[in-house]
Amino acid sequence: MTELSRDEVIRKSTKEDSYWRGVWRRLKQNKLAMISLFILILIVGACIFVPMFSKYSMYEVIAADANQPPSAKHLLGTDKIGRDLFVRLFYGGRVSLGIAIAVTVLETIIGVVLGSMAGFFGGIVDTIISRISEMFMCFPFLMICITLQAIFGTSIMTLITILAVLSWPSIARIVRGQILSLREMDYMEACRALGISNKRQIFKHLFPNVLAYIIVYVTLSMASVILTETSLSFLGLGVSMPTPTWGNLIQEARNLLVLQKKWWYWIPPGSAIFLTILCFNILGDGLRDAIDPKMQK
Amino acid sequence: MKNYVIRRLLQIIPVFLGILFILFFIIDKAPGSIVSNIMDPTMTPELKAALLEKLDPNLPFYQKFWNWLVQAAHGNFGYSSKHFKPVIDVIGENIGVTFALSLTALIIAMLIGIPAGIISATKQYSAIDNFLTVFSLLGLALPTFFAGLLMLKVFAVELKWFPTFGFISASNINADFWTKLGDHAYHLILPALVLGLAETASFMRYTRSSMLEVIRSDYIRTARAKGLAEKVVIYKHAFRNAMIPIVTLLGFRIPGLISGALMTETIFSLPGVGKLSVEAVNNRNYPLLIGINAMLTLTTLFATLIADILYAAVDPRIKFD
Amino acid sequence: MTEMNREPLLQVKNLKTYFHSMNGNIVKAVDDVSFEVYEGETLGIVGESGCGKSITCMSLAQLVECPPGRYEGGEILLDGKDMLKVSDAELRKMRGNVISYIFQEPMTSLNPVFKIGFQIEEVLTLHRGLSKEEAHKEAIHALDLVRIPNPERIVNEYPFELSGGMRQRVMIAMALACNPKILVADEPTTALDVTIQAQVLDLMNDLKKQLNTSILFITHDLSVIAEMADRVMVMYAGKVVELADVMTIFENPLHPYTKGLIASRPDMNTSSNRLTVIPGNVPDLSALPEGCSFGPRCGFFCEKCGKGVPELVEVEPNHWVRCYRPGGEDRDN
Repeated sequence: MTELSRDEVIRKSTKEDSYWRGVWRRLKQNKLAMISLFILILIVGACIFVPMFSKYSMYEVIAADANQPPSAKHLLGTDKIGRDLFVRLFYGGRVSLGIAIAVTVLETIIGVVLGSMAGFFGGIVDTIISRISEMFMCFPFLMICITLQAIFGTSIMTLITILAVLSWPSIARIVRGQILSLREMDYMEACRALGISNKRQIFKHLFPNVLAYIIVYVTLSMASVILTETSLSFLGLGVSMPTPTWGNLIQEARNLLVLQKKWWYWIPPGSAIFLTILCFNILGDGLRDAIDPKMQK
Repeated sequence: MKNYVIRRLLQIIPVFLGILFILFFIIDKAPGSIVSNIMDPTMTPELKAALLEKLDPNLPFYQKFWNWLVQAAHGNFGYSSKHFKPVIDVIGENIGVTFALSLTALIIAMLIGIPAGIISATKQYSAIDNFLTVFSLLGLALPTFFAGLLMLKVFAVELKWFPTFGFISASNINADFWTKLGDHAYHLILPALVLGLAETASFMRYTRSSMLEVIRSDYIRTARAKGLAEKVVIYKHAFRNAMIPIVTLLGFRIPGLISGALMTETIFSLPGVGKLSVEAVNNRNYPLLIGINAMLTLTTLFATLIADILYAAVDPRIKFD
Repeated sequence: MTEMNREPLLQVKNLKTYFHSMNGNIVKAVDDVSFEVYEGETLGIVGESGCGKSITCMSLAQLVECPPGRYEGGEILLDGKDMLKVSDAELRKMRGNVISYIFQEPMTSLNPVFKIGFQIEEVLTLHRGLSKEEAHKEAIHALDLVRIPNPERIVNEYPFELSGGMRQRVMIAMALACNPKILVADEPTTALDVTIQAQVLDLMNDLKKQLNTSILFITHDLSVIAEMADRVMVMYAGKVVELADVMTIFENPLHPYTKGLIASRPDMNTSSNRLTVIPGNVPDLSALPEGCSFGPRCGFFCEKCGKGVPELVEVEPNHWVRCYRPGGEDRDN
């Protein structure tokens, strides 16, 4: 960890909100990150509102229109039984993003609780938690998800639980590491010297600092959960039809005929996944640079 | 060095046991009894009876666990009724493709990603650096399955440069060893490129940031002040140091690499462990699934150990801690 | 006193090294600096951190990172060559061979992944064309020269196995391995304990006599300067403000800044227990005050000082000062 200068100690311990204002100011200077944020807002907005205002619903089958390429009537064409793929794309986005948010929230809670326990208590608690997280990190992630899905069933709830239970170690490690290094830092020393109580130290000083790293992690985690969920759904082992997700919409392309002739089945959801992951990654990197300006190039 | 390896091995034991415990817990929860999941129908009745006694569902959990451990230690992870073979044999037949695919992708990633990262770092903010940075951002965001479909569409379906599926062409099934090997390689190119793409991007990113940090350090200035050629400064003095975190990355990337291999195999219909496991799910073949998990977890654990040893080999400071 | 009639070994004329920051600011880290170093002498460069003394010395062998740095002008004549104009290959032949460096941070200046021996051998094979075995023997000899005990063992150790003082000795051994004509020592003892400091300084003085190497010694520590230097150059905000031999600097400093530096030294001989300090801070090099850079902090500031930058003038033989009122004439009583 980097050492803080005396000015930073004073600034951090007196004005916490100016810290966040600084982060926001630095983030605003990063054009790429701001564009990504904007695109993400657009994507989320579209996923919320397009299904609401579309004249088709996602399960509605219009048999006469089956297998049509994009047209004015169906902006992204229809699938083999005549469902409008435009509305299904955005509905699928709702499901994919919804799962990503749920998993991220859950794993963050688990990770923060276990990570801070390990960081604060140290000793045997730390050893046990660290060893368990090491075990989890050895699992071939996708494989174990597949197995668990096969055993416990493929409902969305099971999927969310499995993903959250398997992904907490990364955030636990980050939180633990942060707490350990923050405890040794100059300004905590300064707080101790000033006689600020333990509880206040933790909530007023430690928390915002760890929070910064959690925000970065959450952003990057959104990207990786979307990737995992869509991968599983693509294999037919995540969310199953007829509920659309970005992953199982692409599943159609595992058919060679679709791959050859029907690009509108799989290119739009694939691009949506790609764009969303890209934006989350760039935003996450931007946030990290904004939070820790010394890390900047 | 020897002590270090021994210590690492000792540290791995509790992790290893924990992993086995979790796996056992999953089997215990799987539909069907443990016995039916692990039993080999070709066993003699005496052996069957002995096994039944050992894995009796009414036994306490820890005892079942211990008995299962003993079975697993003998390589008995169960029997695949679909293949009429013990699970371990079925996996053995399929894992070669997965390893070949992962290893090729890893080699591609290292051969391209590391030099590209070095160039990117030494020419920071130049046009080539910007290009490579954008490439790695895109490469990291492109999901393996989508990249696979795109490459399949472009290079196999449209351009017809590569086969669309499988590990061997029908015409070559009875060919001699070398023709077969060549054909395997030909079938492996596209999948390996797909899998290698994301790995290349992450190697490049790590190499770049690691090199950037090293290049600014005092000892690089010392190396320049000594009159060494820039090539020696970068590729010898800087890279030897930048390699240290990259070796750690190698260990961390293994589980991700295997996951990627599973996806790639499914897209290209390669007869590897990934395809096997998707089939196993569809057939509710639990013993096979557990076996695959055990196998891949052990592989990961082993790979991490190798990465640790490599780490000690490149960083002289580590051996003496 | 240095004999001034001899040809200088190193002659720096009007050197300008600027830094161009991303937002268009220009930091004139080294601004029109000229000086000479004669054979066998030690020239000390003093100044607060950020005054450009390190950048001046780094510029000599083009070790400043470019970009953001840039050599905007001047000449550096060393061994008959202009270091700013020679080819890259020639430059590399000079580095470590004719001009060598010792840096401030012994803890980080040696490459952590190579053995001590290898790092010294590298210079020997490169510049003196020795074979591996010869270089190895020479490396042991070089370590012996800097009084490292058990050199045969140390060559096979890694930097992290040595203390800071030992590492700095290794740096010295490495720097002197090819018998350079000039050794640039950039605060070589700042990071060391006081006792170790004294040992390293003694060693440098001995080796200098033994090898007749010129030394360019940078420090902010005046007591170290008193011990090491024959002549002293005082720098402030990228410029030379005073240049004279060491006795003159300590006994008759003329620039108000030099006076301030000397007065701010804890002195055993005075009864006063307060330290004199120079008021204010080192100015921001990208936004220097109008006129004399030291103006805002100077006790003798007058109207003239706020208008133009004074020239470096020879006020008495071999004593150069950049000040309109050297010694604060009118106020001196």
